[in-house]
Amino acid sequence: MSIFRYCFESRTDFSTPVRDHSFMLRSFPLVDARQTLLDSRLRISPQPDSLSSGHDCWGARIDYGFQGEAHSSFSYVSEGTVKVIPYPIADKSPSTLFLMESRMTVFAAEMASLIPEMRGTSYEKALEISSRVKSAMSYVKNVTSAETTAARAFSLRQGVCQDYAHIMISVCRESGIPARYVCGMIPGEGETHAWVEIWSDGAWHGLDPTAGKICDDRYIAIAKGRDAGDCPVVRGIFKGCAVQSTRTISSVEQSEQ
Amino acid sequence: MQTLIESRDSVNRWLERYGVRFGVYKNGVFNEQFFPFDSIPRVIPKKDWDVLEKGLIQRVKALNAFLWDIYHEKSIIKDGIVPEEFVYSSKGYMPECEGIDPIGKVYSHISGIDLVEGKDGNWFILEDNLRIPSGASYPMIAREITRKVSPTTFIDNSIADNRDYPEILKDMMDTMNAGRGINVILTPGRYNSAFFEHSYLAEKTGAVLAFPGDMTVEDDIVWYTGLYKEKVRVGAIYRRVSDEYLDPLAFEASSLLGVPNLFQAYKKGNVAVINCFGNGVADDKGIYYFVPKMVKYYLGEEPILHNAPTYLPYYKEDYDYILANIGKLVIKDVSEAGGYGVVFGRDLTPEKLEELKSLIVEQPRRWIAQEVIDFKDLEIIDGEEKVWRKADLRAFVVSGGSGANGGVRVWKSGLTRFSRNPASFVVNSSQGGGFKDTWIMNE
Amino acid sequence: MNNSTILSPSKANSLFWLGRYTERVYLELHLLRLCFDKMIDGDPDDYGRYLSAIGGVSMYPDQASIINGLVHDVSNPASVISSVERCNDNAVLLRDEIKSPTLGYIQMPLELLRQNAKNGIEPNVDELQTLTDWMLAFWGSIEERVYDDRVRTLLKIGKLIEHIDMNVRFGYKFYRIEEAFSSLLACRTSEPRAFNAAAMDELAEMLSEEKYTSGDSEYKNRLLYLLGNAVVL
Repeated sequence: MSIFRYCFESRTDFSTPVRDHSFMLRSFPLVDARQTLLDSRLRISPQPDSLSSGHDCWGARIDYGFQGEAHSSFSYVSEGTVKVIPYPIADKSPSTLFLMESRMTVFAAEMASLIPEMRGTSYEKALEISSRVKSAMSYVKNVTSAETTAARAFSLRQGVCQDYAHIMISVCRESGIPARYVCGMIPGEGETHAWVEIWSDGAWHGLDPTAGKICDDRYIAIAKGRDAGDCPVVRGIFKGCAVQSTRTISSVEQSEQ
Repeated sequence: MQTLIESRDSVNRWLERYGVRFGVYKNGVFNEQFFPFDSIPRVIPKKDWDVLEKGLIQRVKALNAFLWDIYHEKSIIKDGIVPEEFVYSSKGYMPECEGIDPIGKVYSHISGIDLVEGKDGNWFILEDNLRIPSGASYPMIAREITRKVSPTTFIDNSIADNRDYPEILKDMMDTMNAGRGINVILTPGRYNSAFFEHSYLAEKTGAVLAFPGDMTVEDDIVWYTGLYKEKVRVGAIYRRVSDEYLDPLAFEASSLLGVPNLFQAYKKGNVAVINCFGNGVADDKGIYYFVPKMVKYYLGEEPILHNAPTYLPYYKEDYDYILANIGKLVIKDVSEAGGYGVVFGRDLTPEKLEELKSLIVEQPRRWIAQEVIDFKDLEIIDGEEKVWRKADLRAFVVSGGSGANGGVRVWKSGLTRFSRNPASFVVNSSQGGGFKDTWIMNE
Repeated sequence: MNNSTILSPSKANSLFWLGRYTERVYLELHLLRLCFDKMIDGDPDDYGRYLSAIGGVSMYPDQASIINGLVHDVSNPASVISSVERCNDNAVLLRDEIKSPTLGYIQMPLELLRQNAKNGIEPNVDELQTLTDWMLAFWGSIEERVYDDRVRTLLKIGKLIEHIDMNVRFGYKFYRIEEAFSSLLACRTSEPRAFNAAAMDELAEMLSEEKYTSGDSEYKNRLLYLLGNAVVL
């Protein structure tokens, strides 16, 4: 078990003021069997006209609201303390949905080389898939975008953690292993990270194909879903003709008990 | 009726006058066309209609019960009636809708059920449209006009009055309305192919025609914003924007047609969304096969209306039958809509048939096969002569109103579409078909 | 449920422009009929002046194609058909406010002009008069079928702005401008926030018969500029 202080900061600047700005954030560690939120705080600037909160259908906390008056920046800070225990997460019957292709994880014939021929448990196969994804791909920033599908990233053999996770999910599902996407934070990395949870023998296990590692209790999940499309950390829509630039910094530090 | 046929030109002038057009994109250019009207009405005798009406109410009740079940207990899956992969692999299934209780438990407020009449006089269901079924405005306006140009026809024949559709719709919107807000019809805009219908229904029901950008969500309540920033609460949205574009923060982020955070307001029960999110799972071509089973399962009744005989390659028996009889079947691609993914085995060359077979072997879940129904043709006027053409009927069933039958009503009318091409079985208006008035007889 | 008379900013904008374009069509038709009349007496200078004031005549090689162009040429923004198309662009967005029968008085001119343009029919007085009748029927239909004061006022504001603008451009008598402007001031009383107060005040101050008849082109341009900025919708 570990306890972490986390701080997630994001600031968006608009080249000209915008108005009627609706937004939705996923900025809290997910509360589930693995993670307990000890304290948390969210500040949004400028203060929105309305702010509500709830959960998405995968259990992640959402905060959403509306800012009517013209403003030229939008920023928020989410910070708190979270207690994390190691994987696995027990689940007797995972939803069949995690075996189905999703929009960004459609399997491509080209990815067949990543399917392990070995015998073994789903967990062992998934480990093999994770290591094949890692060796097939090169970690290169800015060649893929948030919209890039698994098939596209694989054809480039380049991408970032989101792409690694999508390819691994696609191959796992094709091999009959339930798999889901996780977006979260890890200490020492200044931005959000993505990894995969696979289901084997009555529980979900965390695997990180980008690092080629098994996830430990330093992996703090924010949102989960079929693919990255279910887990955007921030979305906004506004009236106004502005170019926007967003800077996001996250920091996670292990705290002394 | 003869006077009605003779006054065809007059009818067309009235259609022009009312701007009854639908938009089409050809090579990227937007054009508006008239939906060709044929003045020979389709006549449905009372005894046929009585059966259709009962059967349609039954079917739509079962479909609404299915939608509730799928997004809650899922007992139809647990009891082994519908295999779960048919639900979860359907593009229309939305996990976001799990556990949401729509107002009055109604999912499909306006259902457009497509039927055909066989040569033997039996009616068959072709498909259910539970998302945004369009076309009700055409028979409404056709009747308004034909009554004007040929009043004697309507004096001499005992035809059910169909001018009550706006009242049926308004009653349903008022009954579903949350928080005594206003009713709006949300259109994607004037370049949508059905824009005429959106604006016409708004006029006739007294709802406000709303465009993208007219509404905002604050504190889980939907507001319509006025000229001087005054706000009124919206209680019911008859939306003509599809699920994925309806809330850019919950679904397709690039959508400019939606209302941001509408999904959250809907989830809280603060606004009626007509029809609900997630209905696509029940009108999926693969799920169609199971609708008669739903009638038995949820209502404990024998289905009154029948599907066209349908085979699912998913089941071994059906798989073998399809591969052996593919030449006489019609094959539908479950993953496509709009009439483009429909192939008649008899139209294919032996090579193409083999190709299709191997596609079915590869992905059995992707296809359904049906016996070709020998449609009863309808007479239409082509130039100066009468010819026979294939036609279907879209019946409109409104659920969630205040009346009897649990608030389910079948509109005594419907959209009869015919194919102008004599060889074609496809009557889709996007593929150049025309329409007729549909007379439901009172005696 | 209470469907109050709330009107969105975009509908208000469409009402204003529908008012402007219907008035423009009406006045263009009026001017074209005057042209036909003057052509009888055969003084090219006289009707040439009218034609060039409407604008866009340099696009055409001869007299006949000028007349045809001013009625049926969609590529000429000053043509009658272009103005009716713009009426339609706004009117179709307003079916629920102005009602289908009213919209019909835009649809019929549009269809007639499109057909005549397509079939190469020369503009004639019958066609122009039919169009004029429909434009008048449009306003009659508004009067009969629309009871929302704000909808009527916004349409009327558009109509009056266009009326004054065209009268200034064509040098009509001052009393016509004065009449229309006092009507506009009445609209301002009922819908004050639709107006740019500074522009309206300056217009009120500037409007005098003496200055108007002096032929000062700078004065005229200032009037037109203020008219274009008098309404904020």
